[in-house]
Amino acid sequence: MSLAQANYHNRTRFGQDYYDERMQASRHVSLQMKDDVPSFTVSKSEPQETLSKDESEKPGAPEQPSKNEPQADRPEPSEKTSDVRSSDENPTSTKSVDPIRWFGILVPPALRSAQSSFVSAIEGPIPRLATLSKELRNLQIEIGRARKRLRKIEG
Amino acid sequence: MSQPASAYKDRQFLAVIGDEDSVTGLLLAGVGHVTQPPDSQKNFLVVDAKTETSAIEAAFDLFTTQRKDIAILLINQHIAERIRHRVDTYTAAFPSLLEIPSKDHPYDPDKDSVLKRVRRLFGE
Repeated sequence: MSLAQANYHNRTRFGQDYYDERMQASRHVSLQMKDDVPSFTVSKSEPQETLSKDESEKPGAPEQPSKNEPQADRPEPSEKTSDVRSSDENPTSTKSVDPIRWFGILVPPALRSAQSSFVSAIEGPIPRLATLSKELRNLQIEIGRARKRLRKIEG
Repeated sequence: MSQPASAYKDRQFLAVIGDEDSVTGLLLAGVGHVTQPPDSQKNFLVVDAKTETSAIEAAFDLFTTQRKDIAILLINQHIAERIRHRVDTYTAAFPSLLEIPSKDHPYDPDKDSVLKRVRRLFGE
């Protein structure tokens, strides 16, 4: 992450004002269970696939607006509420583009290097850390159990 | 410790609670996701000095308990500090919670919830 920070320093103000409100994730996490330990990987997925996944997950997703929204200040993105469901036929409408395009066509090289640093952070250390912390938690439980058994034997 | 497959197979997004720069960078890497318009939920929260702690907490709840499609939640360490009690008592299997450094706040391992847990394990 530190390299990302360094690169990040020398860029000018590229911030949330530029975010595309209809962004779709182009990098997804996938989880595999290995000996009861989930292992995380993050990889780039095809926009097409992204869309269909989103569609299929929709019905089950517990995302009703019942909870208190943390993003009270979010801009109203509801210009097209009706027929986005049909985006399967028309994948270009919400298809993910390279997020760097939010900031224009000609972006400073610093921004590009920041992007590539973040990409490598997200694909390398982050899933590895997530996996490790899961392993650690399992070990923690095992140690707890072992100690308990030990106490029983001693006592 | 094994969860049913349903507990994780739909978890495909990263979520971020961070300062503007951290969030921008991670979005540049392509993790940003806004769900389809009717509810348009974001998987990130930009936190600045004016953000209420309650808003951070609400986002933390949203990402950790309400949404079932988040696999990893990243949170800037200095923001985790503001809701430290919540972060330290978070024990759910998913999503995985990682504290990350930010540009303006160097990483302090002593504050990390994972390292604290390890330290507790090996005799305070």
